[in-house]
Parts: sequence; structure tokens; C-alpha cells
Amino acid sequence: MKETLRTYLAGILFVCGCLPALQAQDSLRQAVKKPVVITEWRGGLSSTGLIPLPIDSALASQYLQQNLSELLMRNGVFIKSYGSGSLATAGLRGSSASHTPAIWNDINLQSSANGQIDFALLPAFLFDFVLVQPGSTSAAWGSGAIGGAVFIASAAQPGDSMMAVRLTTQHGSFGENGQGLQFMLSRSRMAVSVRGVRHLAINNFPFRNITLPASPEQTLGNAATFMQAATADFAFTPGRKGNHQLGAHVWVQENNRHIPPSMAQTHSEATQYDRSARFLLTHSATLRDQKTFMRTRSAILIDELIYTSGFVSDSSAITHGLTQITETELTRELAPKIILNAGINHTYSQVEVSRFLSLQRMNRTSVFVLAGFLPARGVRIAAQFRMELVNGRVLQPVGSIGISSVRSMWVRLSANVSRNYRIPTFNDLYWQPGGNPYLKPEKSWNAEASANTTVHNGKHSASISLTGFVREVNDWIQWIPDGAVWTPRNVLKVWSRGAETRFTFSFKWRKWKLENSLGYDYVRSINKRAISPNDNSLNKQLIYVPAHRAFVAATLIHKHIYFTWSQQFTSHFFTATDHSTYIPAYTLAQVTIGSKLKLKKHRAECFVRVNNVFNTAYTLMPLRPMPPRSFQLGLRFDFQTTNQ
Amino acid sequence: MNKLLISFAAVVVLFAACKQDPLPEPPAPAQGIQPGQGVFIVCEGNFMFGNSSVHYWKYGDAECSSDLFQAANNRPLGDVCQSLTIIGNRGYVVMNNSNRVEVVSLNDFKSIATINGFTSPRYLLPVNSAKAYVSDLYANRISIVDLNTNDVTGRISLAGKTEQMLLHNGEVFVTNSENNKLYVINPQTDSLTDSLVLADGGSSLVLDANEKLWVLCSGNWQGSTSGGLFRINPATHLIEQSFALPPSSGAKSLCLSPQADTLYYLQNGVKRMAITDQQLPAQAFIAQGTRNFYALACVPGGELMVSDAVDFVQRSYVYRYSAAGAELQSVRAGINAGFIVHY
Repeated sequence: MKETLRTYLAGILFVCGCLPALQAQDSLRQAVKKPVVITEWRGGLSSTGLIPLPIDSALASQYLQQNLSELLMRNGVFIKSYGSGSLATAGLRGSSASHTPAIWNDINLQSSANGQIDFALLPAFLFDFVLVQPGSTSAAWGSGAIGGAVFIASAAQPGDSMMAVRLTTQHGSFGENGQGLQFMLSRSRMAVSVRGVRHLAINNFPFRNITLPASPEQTLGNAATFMQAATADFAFTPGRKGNHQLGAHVWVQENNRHIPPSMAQTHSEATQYDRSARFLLTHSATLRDQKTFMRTRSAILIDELIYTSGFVSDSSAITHGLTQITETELTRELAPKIILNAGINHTYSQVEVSRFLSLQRMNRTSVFVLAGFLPARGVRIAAQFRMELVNGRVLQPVGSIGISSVRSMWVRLSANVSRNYRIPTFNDLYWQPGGNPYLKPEKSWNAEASANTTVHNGKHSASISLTGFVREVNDWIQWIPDGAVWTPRNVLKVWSRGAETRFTFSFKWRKWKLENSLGYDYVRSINKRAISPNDNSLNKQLIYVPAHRAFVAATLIHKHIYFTWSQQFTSHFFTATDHSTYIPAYTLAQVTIGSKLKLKKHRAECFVRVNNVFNTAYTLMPLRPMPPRSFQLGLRFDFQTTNQ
Repeated sequence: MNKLLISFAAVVVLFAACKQDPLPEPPAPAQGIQPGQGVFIVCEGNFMFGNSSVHYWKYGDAECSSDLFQAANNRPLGDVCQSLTIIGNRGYVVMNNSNRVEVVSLNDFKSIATINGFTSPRYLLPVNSAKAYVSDLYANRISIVDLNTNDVTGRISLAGKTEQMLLHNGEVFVTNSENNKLYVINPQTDSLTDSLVLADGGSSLVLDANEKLWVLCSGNWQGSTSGGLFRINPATHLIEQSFALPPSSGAKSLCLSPQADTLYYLQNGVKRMAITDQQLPAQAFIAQGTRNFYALACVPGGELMVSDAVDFVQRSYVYRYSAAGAELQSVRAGINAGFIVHY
């Protein structure tokens, strides 16, 4: 049964187009040809009818030493960034930052305090794979997954006896340097993977200050960032039958970031210190009937944030967060073509913010059921349901129905309809003053349909996908003034629709190979409810939502030498709800030249990258300069020994 | 392969051709700024967005000017424009989060000088022809500015967040929004001479026809302490009368009629009170309704100017009301119109 399930889920992922994305993160595991056990990732079945956005494999390899915001930006995801290494949030499909969670090994990492994920705090080196899944998936992942989700995972997998070591180092302009070290050991019944990574950047780059007369060139100050993190993944299969597997994951990290002044400020002494520790224990088992698969996981997430303004009379603000998650689920093959998955999740959270928010607690319990049906070869239907209790109060149940079919060898059609929700954050509920304990959860409807075609022609291959979506979010929470105090209210109604297209092809000629990815996204996300007759935001695109985004990434490979050119276009986007102010459109380009060498089982790679090739002056937030043209040199070594 | 490429291109062209959101027009140069003819509308913009602006609304015109500073100087004004003080034909634009004061010619709003050296400046008050004080949120002091050289020449240590100031009879009264003190400074010696205990959240003050000082305090921002309206004898520094305001009252923007006999302030609408009244008004003189009143100013003729900040992330409306409270006119200014001054 276990193998059946694995095969089945692997098939789902492959048909979904997930597999290329999973492989995209150039992990050491792949380097030693031990694929991640994708049964550990349940997103495949629950995402039936949704099409993930592939991560360009060449870019994923080259951005190992960067944080995830950099990698996602290069792959067409719009990131709202305050600058290099500074706060960076994602809003998939025109949603807000709190609508796009990051899911680490099936654990939602969204901050309980503000509901957001800072992707600048997620080092790419720590993960074996990265997957961007647009579309609403609250039925699978609970509150918050309205715009989409970013899945990240690290794992260790027992199997062949082997030992591998990865060493990376990167140096760049403006005081950037970083190193990563990974050690992986596996035997038939146990495996361990330990990683450490650090990254330092002074970010003292020049920029034109357009707020001063004659726009003089200045050097960004108080912009240094420092990150160090370590993870340990452990897996153990007791007994000879291999019906059980135990797993343990630890992730500790600290970031120290100076917050630079905007162009309109003369100076800044603000700093932000983030520290986190995450622990996850897993157990999976195939029961004696060989038709039932059980998984249990328990996680503790501890976060601390210390912000210091640097002002004489304004002290620091400290946020402490603690989340405990326990989840267990059963998957059973009811009939040859029917699989049922059911589980229960309990999440306890507590948050305390000095000066603003006293210690607050929240207990959430949810039950979820997922039924998968394979009526014919290549066709599958999945329906899921989730109901949640928050501090004993039952929320409206949510669910989804997805279908994916292979009608012919060439075209795959998919569709998904879902009901979703996001509960208010601790800040929304309890912030003093202004917190509103009577807030309702945001609710949304999402529908989408996709067509995907893949062509193989000898050494060449190509694929194109087109996804169209519509989404309506009701009771969107917004902070608005109430007398002298700002308070959150369920005021907005947002209607979004758009399309995502991806075109990839691979072309071989003698010893030359060309790999190309093109993408174009269009999104209209508009406010359908005015808060007053004077509100001129009605029927206008939300702020920080560009209507058009496009990217291209082309890699030309000749023997062990490669050349990558990537470029992204982002249309203008507004910073005022009545569209009276905006950030202009911009185009960025990067060029990478590198070489991959292989000596027996060992591998090495070195590359030189030029970022912002055309030295474009641009901002993603008003008056927050982004880096000009810069250079990076990267080295990577993979050593392996295998004992068969 | 070609079919796929053509399909991809067709999809891109199809969506790229969809309806485009129009971009705002660039600001036009200032016209028609004449003393006594209108008001300057100071718009804070959004914190950290650098989208402050100042506009001029000539009385009776259907529209106000666009962003005067950007049009005149081809650069943005800066971050969080707090106030504008008029001294002769010069304007001192206090840029709170840009940590500076822009000195402009009021005729055309061309920049004359920039005064640096502040932490989080709020208001500028001239104390004589050559010297001004600048209050500050986070510096625990006010700064002394030489109006001839446009340099900061000294500091006066004052605990807390200093706000509006008023010069009367050789003394400067300084409000404080962080504690319950009203400071008194001798501008001759630049020294603190007295502190009066009022209520938390003091931010605005006026001098009435009887030469009495009125100070409006809203309570602390956390909403845990009460505020009040206080009448003070500036000669004796004694509190003659006090009216309690509940916590989180939101009372602000105290201003005075041209005859200096009627007080106006914002508190869920425009409240009106004669200086001889013995209690605070129960009802709003001008109801707020669905509007989000953000700033209030009394202008010559007894008219009132009130801004509606809407959702704080779009251009404000500014309303002109008659002395009887009848709505006369409105214009759209910049984002978060927070200070209005007659010129």
C-alpha cells in the first residue's frame, strides 16, 4: 500500500507539473541522485486542479546563497521589498502579504502576530525544494492561503549508504559574502542532513537622491544585514519491514538588519533583530492492512523580533511569538480508485508585544477530509473539506473541488473551485489601542481553469500552460480610523481576476543545449466597496498590485560551460488607493556565466553574475532605492562517497 | 513548436492590451498665490512614502493647486509634512520624517534653503525677527533656529514630544503630547521657566480675546488617560477652568474665530464653544457623518476649513463651511491634509 500511495502521489505530482519544480531547487540530494520522497508532501493531491508556477532550474541553482525573495523575484513573483535584504513580502494574484503563507514541511510559518511571511528571512540554501502554488488552498492548509502558498521543504531520506558534503561560498559587490555548508549521511534505515549558512551584506551602494536639489549621488547608510542559520533533518526507519519512519527537523536562525533611511530622510539608526527556533517531529506508518497510511507531526515555532527606532525618546518594541502545532492524518485506499484522507490539527499560539499587546493566546482546532477519485486513466477528482474552531467558536466550513484530466497525449485540462478564509491576526484582534476582538474572518471564493500542453520531439521539448482565475474576497480586513484610534474592520470587498502563462522549451544541437522559460502574468484586483461617499478607491486596482509582469530566463549550455540571461518586467503600480501616486514600471536583467565540472562522483560549479545589467534606477517601495549594477562570484563543491 | 510560441505570444498580447489604469498628471506650476486670498493646505502624505505635498486654495476657486513644491523645484517635498509657518513672504515647511525644514518663497514655492539638524520636527514658531523654535517628537528638546542663517544654533531640553507653541507677552508656551505638561520658556534666555500640569496629549493651543490661553489635550494615545480643555491665565500660569474629555476622545485641532471669542475643535465632528461657556458642547456644530475629519482651521470671515482624509491612503477632500456651519465648497488636495493656514 505504501508503495502504491507513493506511486500514486508521485504520479499526481508529475501530472500536475510539480515535479520539475521540486527538482528545481538544486539540492545536494539531487546531486547525489536521491530524490526527495514526495509522499512527504501532501500538496499534490490537495492541489488537484491547481497549476503551480515552475521555478527555473538554472536560476534555482544559481541563487542557492540568496534568500527566497530574490529567487522568487527572478521567477516572476511580485515581491514587495524595502530594499536588499530588507522586509520582503509576496502577494500572489493581487492578494495581500497575509494571504500568501510559506509552508515548511507541511507547517504554516505565517506570523501569528501580523499574518505575514518575510521572504528575506528564508535562505534558499536550507531547502531541498521550493514550489510556488498560486490559488486558494485554505481547505488544505487552513487560514491564510487565499492568494496562494509557497512550499519549502528540507528532508533526510534513508536508502543507499552514502555520505555527501556541499560547500558554497559567494562574494559580491557592496560588502556581500556568504557561505553554506551541508553534510548528509544516509544508511539503509537512517539518514541525517545538517546545514549551516551565513550571509553578510553591507549594502552601501550608491543611488541618486531625487528628493534633494540636483539629485546628488549618495551612499546608502545603515543598511547592513547579517543572517546565520542552521538546520538538521533526521530520519529513522525502525524495524526491518520499514513500515514506520520517524523524522526530526530543527531550524534555528538569527537575522540582524539595519534599516536604512528612505531618500526623504536624512538618516536612520533603526535596527531589527529577528530570532527563531523551529522544531518538528514526524512519524509516518503503513498499518498492517497495507491499505492505511498514517502521519503525525508536531511542531514548536518560536519567534522573537526586536525593533529599535534609534530615537532618543522612543524605545524598542519586542515581539515574542510561540506556536505549537500538532496534526495527525490517516490516508486509506477505500477502493482501487478511491483514496480518503482525514485528519485533525490543533494549533496553539501566543503573542506578546512590549508596550502594545499583552500576552494573548489562541487555540485552533480543525478537522479536514480529502477524497480522491480516479475514474479513468489520467483523470482525477479531489474534494476536500475543512472546519475550524477558534477559541471554541466554530467558523464557517470551507472546501474545494478540483479536477484534472489528460484528454489526449498533448493537452491537460484542470479546474478548481474553492471556498477559503483567513482569521484575524493577533494584531488585528488585540493591538492596543484599536484592536477589534469582534472581527470576522475574511472569506473568499476562488475559481480557476488551466490548460497545459507538452510536446516532446526527440531531443527537444516544449510546454505551454495557461491559467485563468477569478476570486472574490469579502470582509477583507483593513485598518481605518475610528475617532483618534485606528481600528481594523471587515470593510473591503475585493474582486480579482487574471491569467498566468508559462512557456518553456529545451533545444539540443550537437553539444549545445538551450533551456528557456518565459512567463507572463496579468492580474486585476479591484476594490468593490467604498468606505464612504468620498472614497475614490472604488473599482480601482489595489495598491502594490502591478497589472502586468513578465519574465524570461534563457540558459545556453555548451559542455560544462553555461550562460544564463534572465530579465523581468513589472508594470507600474499604485501607492495611493485613488491612484494619485504610483511606482513607475521597470525592467531588470541579470547575466550569469558559469561552469559545472564533474570528477567521478564529485561536482564543482563556479559562476560570475551581473545583477541589474542595465544599471536601472528603480524602487519597489516609494523612495527606497534598490541596488544598482552589481557583481557576484559563487563557488560550489559537492563531495560524495557511496558504499553499495 | 511554432504553434506553441504563437499561442504564447497571442495570450500575452491579448492581456497586455487590456484596459490600462491612467497615470496621474504631473503637477503644474503655482499660479495665483496672493496674500490674503486663500489657504495653504499642508498634506502629510503617508509615513515613509515621501508623498507629502502643499497646495494653495484661493477662496472661491473650484479647484486648488497641485503639488506646489514638486512643480516649483522638480523634486518631492519629502516625508510627512507636518506644518507650514508663514514669516513675511517666506514659508517654513516642517518635514517631520524628513528631519528638516524647507524654506520656500511663498510667491512661487521655490526652495530658498533647507534647515537640517532635527530628529522629528513638528512646528516652527518665530520668537523674534531672527530666531525661531522648532518642536520635536523624539528629541526630548526643541531646537533654536537662526532665521538669518537658517542654521540650528541651540537646543532647549524638554522631556517628551513637543507640539504646537505660542508666544505671548514674552513667554513661549509649549504643548506636549507625551505627558501632561505645558512648558513655559523664556525666549530671551532660551530656558525653561515653568511647567504646568494639565492632561496627557496636549497638542494645540490658542489665545482668546480676553488674553486667556486655551490648551486642548486628547489624553494619551494608548487611550488609558483622560484629556481636557484648559483655560489658563498666561500671566499667572494658573489654570482658571478645565473641562474633562474622556480617554480616546480624539479631540484635536483647536482653533479660534477671527474675533477670538469662539473655540472650534475636532471631536467626531466640529465642536463649537464660546469662550464664556461653562461646559463642553454636547453636539457637533458640523456633523462628521461618513467623513473622516482630520484637520480644522478658522479663516478670516469666520469661515471654517475642514479636511476629510477618507482612508488615509488617497487624496483628501477639504471643505469650506460658513460661520453658520453651512457647507459652501470643497476641493481635493493631497494625501492626509493635516494642516491648513490662511495666506
